[in-house]
Amino acid sequence: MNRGYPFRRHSADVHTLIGPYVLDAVTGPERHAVERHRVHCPSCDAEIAELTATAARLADSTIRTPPEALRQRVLAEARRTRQDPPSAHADAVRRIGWHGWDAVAAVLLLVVFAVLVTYGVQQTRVDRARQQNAVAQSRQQDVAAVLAAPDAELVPTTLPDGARGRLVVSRSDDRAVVTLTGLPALSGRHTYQLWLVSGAGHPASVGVLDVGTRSTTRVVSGIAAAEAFAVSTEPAGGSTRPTNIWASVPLTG
Amino acid sequence: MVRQRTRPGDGQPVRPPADDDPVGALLVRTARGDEPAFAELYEHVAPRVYGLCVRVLRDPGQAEEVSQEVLLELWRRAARYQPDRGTGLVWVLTVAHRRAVDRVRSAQARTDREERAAATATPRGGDEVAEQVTIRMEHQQVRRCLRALTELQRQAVTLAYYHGRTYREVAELLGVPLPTIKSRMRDALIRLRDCLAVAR
Repeated sequence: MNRGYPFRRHSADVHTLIGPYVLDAVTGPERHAVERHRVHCPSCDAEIAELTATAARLADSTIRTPPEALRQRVLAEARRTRQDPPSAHADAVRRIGWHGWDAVAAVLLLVVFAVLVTYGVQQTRVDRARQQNAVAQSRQQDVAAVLAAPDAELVPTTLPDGARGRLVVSRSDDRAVVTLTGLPALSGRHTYQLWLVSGAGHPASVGVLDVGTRSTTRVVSGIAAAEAFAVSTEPAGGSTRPTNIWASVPLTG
Repeated sequence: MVRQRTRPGDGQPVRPPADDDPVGALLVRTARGDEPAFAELYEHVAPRVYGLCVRVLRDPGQAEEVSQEVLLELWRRAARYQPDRGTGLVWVLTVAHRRAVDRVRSAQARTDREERAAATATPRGGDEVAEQVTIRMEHQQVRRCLRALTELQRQAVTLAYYHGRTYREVAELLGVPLPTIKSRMRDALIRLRDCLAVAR
């Protein structure tokens, strides 16, 4: 495309926005300018794709277990939600038929609705946060104590079926912090139970997950004598002895 | 494509796949309305989406809301994912980052955050503390590569990506001309790309 100087100056401007664009540090109109530009500029498009993949790596250091309730809400909501078609026509269709007083009236209605909803949601959120506060506080102190122990150590944890686990052990504190995420769904009324296994006695149960729970963070006591940490699958409510050991993590060495 | 279960590399399914792309494969199945695939996709990406939202929004309540929007958007718009244009995980994180940044910039969000902070002063949950420590131990690579940038490059990337600032705000905050900040952002990404690729 050779449309002369003005066009070229424009693309040069757009070109300098590649860095900010990839970091989502541009305004809406600038974002659209870059997106229009990359369609006609294969080298820009390739560079943007590569740098976007690089920027995504910045999220490596922010992984965090989401609240269990989020999973249930998302999956339930998805079941009720119709999927969009592959093309991008939906955005264009939405603009048709919005003119004059229709639009003004609709916007006013939306504003009133949004204010009411925001107020309701806000109140509920504040109440919920207050309730969770007390529980979180005590658990947080336990977790923090273990992690702050001078001998706190990350034990390598490999779990089957794509699940992820982290185990931070403090022998001096006789406790460990266990984080499990992405546990596979279990059929029927089954759940996961956590155990400490020592050389001599029976495995000691250190907690049972609620049925349907697939991630948890908890503090486990009595770690000093244990040789392994194990996770078993059990009927709802748990068992006194492990029925079916699903994973085992050595604690010694 | 009948893939019964994506095969995680040695127990690290949420790491970006080097040559395999389990997230992309799950997105393709999700686009066909496959609910079990979407549930599996959730397990793969939710900790990353939520973690990124918490980092950008600095408010677990709002992070949860935005994560829910993002994850539902993955369900709704999975058909928009084009496997030939990048891995599924990159697409997911791009959607999530954009949403988080949009939210952090809206004035309403700011008011909410301030009100809530005053009303509840929610303590950091145990998960957060645990994550911070394990992140320190496990995710040294990104930090190391960030440290290898110049001071200006690192601040530009950090303020933009982790704090959701526009390049104009970054320029103002750092007292640097606009053209400089734009090129520092690009230079920084190029250096990060090289550093992360070498160490992989």
